[in-house]
Amino acid sequence: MVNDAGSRPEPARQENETFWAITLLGLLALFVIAGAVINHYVTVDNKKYAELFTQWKVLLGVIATLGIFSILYKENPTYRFLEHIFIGLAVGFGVVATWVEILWPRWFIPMLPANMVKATDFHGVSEGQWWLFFALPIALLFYSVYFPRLAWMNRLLISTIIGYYAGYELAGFIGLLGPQITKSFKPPVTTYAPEGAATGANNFQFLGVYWHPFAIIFLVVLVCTLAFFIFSVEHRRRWISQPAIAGRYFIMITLGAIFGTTVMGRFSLVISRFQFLIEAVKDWWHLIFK
Amino acid sequence: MSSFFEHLQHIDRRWIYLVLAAVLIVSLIIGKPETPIVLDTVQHLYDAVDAAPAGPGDGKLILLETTFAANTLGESGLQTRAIVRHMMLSHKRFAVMAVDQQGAKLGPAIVNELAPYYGYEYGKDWISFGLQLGVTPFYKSFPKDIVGTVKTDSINHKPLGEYPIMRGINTIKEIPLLLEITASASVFLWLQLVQPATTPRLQIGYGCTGVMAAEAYPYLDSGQMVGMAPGLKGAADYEKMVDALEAKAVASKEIEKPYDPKTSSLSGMGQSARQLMFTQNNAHLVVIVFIILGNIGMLLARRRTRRAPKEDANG
Amino acid sequence: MNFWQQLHFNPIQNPVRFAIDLAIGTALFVGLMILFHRLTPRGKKYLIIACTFIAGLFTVAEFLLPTYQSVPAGVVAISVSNQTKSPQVLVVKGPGVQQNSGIIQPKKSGTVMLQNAVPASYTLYVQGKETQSGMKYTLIVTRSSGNEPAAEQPTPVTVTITAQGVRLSSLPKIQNFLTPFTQPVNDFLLYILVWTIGLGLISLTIVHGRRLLRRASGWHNSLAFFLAMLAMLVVGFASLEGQTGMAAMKNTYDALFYGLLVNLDAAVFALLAFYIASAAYRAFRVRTIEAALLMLAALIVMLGFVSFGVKLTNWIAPESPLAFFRIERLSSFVMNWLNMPGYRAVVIGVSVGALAMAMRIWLSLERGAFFSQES
Repeated sequence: MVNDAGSRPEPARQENETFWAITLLGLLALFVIAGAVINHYVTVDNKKYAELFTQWKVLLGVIATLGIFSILYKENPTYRFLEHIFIGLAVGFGVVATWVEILWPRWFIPMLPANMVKATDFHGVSEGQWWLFFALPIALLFYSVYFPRLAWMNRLLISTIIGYYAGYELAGFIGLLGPQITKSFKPPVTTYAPEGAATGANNFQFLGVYWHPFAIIFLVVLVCTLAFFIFSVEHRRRWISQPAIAGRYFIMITLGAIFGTTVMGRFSLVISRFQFLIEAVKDWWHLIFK
Repeated sequence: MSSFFEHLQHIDRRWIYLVLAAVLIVSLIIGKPETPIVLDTVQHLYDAVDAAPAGPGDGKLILLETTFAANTLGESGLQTRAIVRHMMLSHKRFAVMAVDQQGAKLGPAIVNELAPYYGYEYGKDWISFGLQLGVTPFYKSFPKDIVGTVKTDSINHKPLGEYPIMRGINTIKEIPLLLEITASASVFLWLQLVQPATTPRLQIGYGCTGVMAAEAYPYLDSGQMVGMAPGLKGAADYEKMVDALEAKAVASKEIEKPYDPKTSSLSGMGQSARQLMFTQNNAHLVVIVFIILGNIGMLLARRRTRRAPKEDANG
Repeated sequence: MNFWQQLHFNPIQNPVRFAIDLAIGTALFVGLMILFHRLTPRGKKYLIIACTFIAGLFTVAEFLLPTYQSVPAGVVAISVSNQTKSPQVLVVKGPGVQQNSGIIQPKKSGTVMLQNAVPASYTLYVQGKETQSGMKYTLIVTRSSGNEPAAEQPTPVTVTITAQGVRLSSLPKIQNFLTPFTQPVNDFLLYILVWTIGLGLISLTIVHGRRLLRRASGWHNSLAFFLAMLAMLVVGFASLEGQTGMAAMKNTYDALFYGLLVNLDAAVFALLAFYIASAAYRAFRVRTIEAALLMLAALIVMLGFVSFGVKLTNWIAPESPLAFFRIERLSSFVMNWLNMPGYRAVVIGVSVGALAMAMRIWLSLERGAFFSQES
């Protein structure tokens, strides 16, 4: 049986992939060897080769940045390769940081008897708190998800933990929302000048009292947006549907404001990347030609 | 002509990327520092840090939480640098911690770069609590017993009690101000679980990325947050005030010379926030121009489509 | 005596006894899980419901139950333990009160009784022959509600004087009978949750391992993943072994973290800026009123943050009646008086929804693939 769609493209794709696999892995090996050589010289004589090591780190960063940016032109194997390296490094770092910063000083060392702890630079206090050990077999229940017959144990543990946190949600709800609700009562007219408030469109005196018209705007926006989210009453009657429609428009304004700040946030990330690339090029220019 | 309007609406995205990249590179090379108008929220944050009773002899310290990763160094890193410079110039004692693995390294790295400039000594003027797990149990136990929860510092891994800065620091009552520099929602756990249980109320200052700025305004209005530095703009505003303070310190010979951001070895932090704001301005302009171009193209194409049936009917 | 010791969980310093106790405890735990595994599917379901309810009940009850204060009004007993090598004197000063402990010899204890203590701040001074003089600590005394049983002894306030300083080991607590359990339970839960990092590690290993073993498309990427992960693990752990050893590993760790990981992380997120520019160009078309409002708000906010926008309206004098229309004030108005109430309403709505969901989960009323699955 001939598969017209299958046979011809397959060999070409595999060949291309083999080429990229060899090239990228070969380059990775080259970088690792170069890195090992530089590392050796730095370890032997740190003062003389410190600058070389710094520039080596910068070179790694430049290659990483340009490789990631290459996807802006089109999808390519270099980007995928660097992306996987990124994931590997991030996972490895996560494990190291979790063990060194949390588990080792706070769980492992306090659990062990004093004379079982080797004298190292990690001065966690060894207290012989043997009961801490049982956090491990309990935590191993998470891994029962990989065994279908035992997977119910994973649900037991997760449900218990979620139930525990659900209880805190009540405390958190009151703690977070209490001040929000109390501060929503803003008077549009006061008989006193609010402390620290500058005179302006929202704080002026007229007919012997102080006016704060923005409080009315605040109230209208708040009530209309809340009306938009009320689903206990059908939005058929005018008294709920009109505020809900207005609430939709106010939400658009909120989303627009969020977009405005989001643009600023995202650009900061790319600006610092380009700044790093420019500084690297300037430093190398300086080193090579001056 | 119609193809021009259609083209205006469908510019290949790679041209947009190229124009944006070119504008950013040219702006960075010019690198003119801005003198921004300081936002109210940033001014309040600055005043809160100034007023915090965390000087030597007060028996308290400011808690600086640097919960961000390398991807937001351009905002959070610059905010952290500006705030730390302020604390050092005002002789405030502080502790650094993070609930993010990278932040637990980057925060102390930023402080370590600044400490020699301002004569700050580890263990005496500042300390690093390191990485904490940002889950409910931590926020419940930390306020009641700081030393018992953190146990050791993250740089020398010694018990906290061995450091002079930790004398008398037991509970959250000894922390008058929490500065949360974050790219995640970690501040809301402090607001939910810690602040309501403190008397007097724990003051929280917020340094966030631009993305999260809009959602902080309700908490600023309610007083749950004392101030906010939003994104790069917040960092630039804060830096403007700190530069003025530093100039006074240099004039009075309290410090030898002003801090030079070029000395930073952290990737992407070699310029000041005020210099980077110039680039930010131009990037915003590019986006606005493209949005306007797209809308012009759409409106003109629509007008043309409306005219075309009339011309056909008459013609 | 701390919480665990009150429950007769005493630390063990003997390695043999340590190992035996762990082995017995593990065997008991495994036995219990085997017992539970033998339950019928319905039995397991009720077990899960019961554990969820009890866990949530603990936190809800601890929050809602009335509290009492364990120190009666008027009398505060401060127990002082001197762990230094020299005699110490603890002095407590407050409104109308000054008491000292008398000389407490090294490794001995003493007591300070404060008669007629009122709710106030009291300052503790440690004055000894060595370097501890003049340190101040604050003890807060609160008035009792008067509801505690007559037979109950007041919880003493414990002060320990050490070479590093003075430590207040316990303070008058506002608590109910569940409060002492919260910290140990929270700490234990922390140590359980930390181990979940292995789940992500295993999932990624399975996915990439399969791809590598089958030589599927992109196998070289999976190989790169494993190499990077192993490099970071090996170098990360090796670089922390001692201060002077493994200097080469420290440099490699620096190169991997600051050279590669930081830059890769930043570059991946920097792509978002390009995408947002292209998305804004494509999506921000003024076709409806809602789109127009959204774009107008975005433009005002963006222009308010940048100097170009400020220059556009700089010609309006700050004191003039039209000053409201200066872009930075307009932007501030949009953020504080339009965006803020809108977002507050969203926060209220989301919080109410989250609370309802939390209560449903606590009471196991939630239905779905996870909650109603039976083994």
